[in-house]
Amino acid sequence: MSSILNKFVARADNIAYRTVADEAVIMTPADSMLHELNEVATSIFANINGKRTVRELCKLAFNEYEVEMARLEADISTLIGELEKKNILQLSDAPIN
Amino acid sequence: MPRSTKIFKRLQQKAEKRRIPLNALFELTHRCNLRCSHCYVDNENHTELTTDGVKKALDILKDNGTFFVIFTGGEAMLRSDIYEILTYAKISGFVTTLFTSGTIIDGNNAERLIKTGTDDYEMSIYSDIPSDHDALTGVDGSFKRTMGAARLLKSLGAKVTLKTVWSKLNFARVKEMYALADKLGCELRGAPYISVTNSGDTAHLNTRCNDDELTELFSSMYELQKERIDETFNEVRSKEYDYETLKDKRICGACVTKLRIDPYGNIYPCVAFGNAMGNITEDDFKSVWSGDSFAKSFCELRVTDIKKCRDCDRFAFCRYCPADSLKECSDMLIPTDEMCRVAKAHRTAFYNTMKKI
Repeated sequence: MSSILNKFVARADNIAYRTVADEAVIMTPADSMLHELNEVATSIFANINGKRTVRELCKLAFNEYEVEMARLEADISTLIGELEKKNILQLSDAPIN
Repeated sequence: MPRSTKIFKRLQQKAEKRRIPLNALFELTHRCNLRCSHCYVDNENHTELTTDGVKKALDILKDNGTFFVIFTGGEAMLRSDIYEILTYAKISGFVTTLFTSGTIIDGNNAERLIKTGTDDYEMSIYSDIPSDHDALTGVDGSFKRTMGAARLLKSLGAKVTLKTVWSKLNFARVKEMYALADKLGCELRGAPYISVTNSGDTAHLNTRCNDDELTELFSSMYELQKERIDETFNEVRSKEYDYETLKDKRICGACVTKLRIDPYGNIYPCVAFGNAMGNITEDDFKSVWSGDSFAKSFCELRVTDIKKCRDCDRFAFCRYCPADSLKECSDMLIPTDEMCRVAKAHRTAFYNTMKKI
């Protein structure tokens, strides 16, 4: 888990997304699939800008939700990993423009 | 576009509940290089939105929740800034579709088009017989160019959908039309609805199929999808007239989850309603969207307000269009004879197919 926490994270090129009623809907272009995020995942997704690491996203979420940091890091790392597998996010060792 | 998924349906329901204009049809120009006989567009000669004007309109749509944008014309490819507009829309997070005849797409510009990231290309094809297609578009060689563009875009990895208007011209060519789409690796979508134009023209209505032709058309389509008949039957059952369910259901998505922008920035409830509600670059969008008197009263209407359709046995097969009703009957709540006729033929074809299997 420590390795993913230090990665910079960006939204993948060409995904389409919109937030409706506090929940994001994302379309991945390669397969035209729609994906839904719940309210908490949507707020994390909104903070992704290519210049923040996963750890920094956890810190932002820590300020917003009353959850232990260790739990947050585990949950957000899992979420980011799943979204990367679905080609919604990209991870890098350096900031992503 | 992912029209039938559960997530898509939930998204549309959320948008309907909150009256979010999730779906926009954006006419970028009314200029066209074809002269299709059934075309609803008035060839007005006004000053179109500039590139910056289109971008501003897209910004406003994004801020108000629009997710799906269909760019169309006229022929949208006639705009020299089409690549810039499509790219901007993708960067802005829209799901984008380009309606085009494909007649201006070739080896010189196809790769540039692909680079815009456009999610879907939709092209109209009116017959598998080139001369029939060309007769309808009024341009010799248009069939060949459209097919060439579809093949080219597919070869470059694009998603291409073929669309048709089923009419006297092609109702007997259903199998051949689907075979043509299959050969290209494209989905074919079509409907037999030929409407009065927004300016009231009716000359092209003589291309509508008669009753027997409609029944033959629907029967041919069911023949092609016999394996889906159980599924279709369940869909039909779920759409039968039920007052309790329908008393809360809006008639359609016009000015609820849908809107149309014309090349001059005017905002309309949908593609079929001709009454502009305001202008996207000149007026405050939120005031137009929530304050327009027609939109407000239209949003109050429910399916059960269409009294003539109560308990109609064709209801599950009907595509009720209040704009067509307004144009043909001067009343949004009276079904046109055409809607009833098409629904009857569809119902007959469906149950005939059920009996056969």
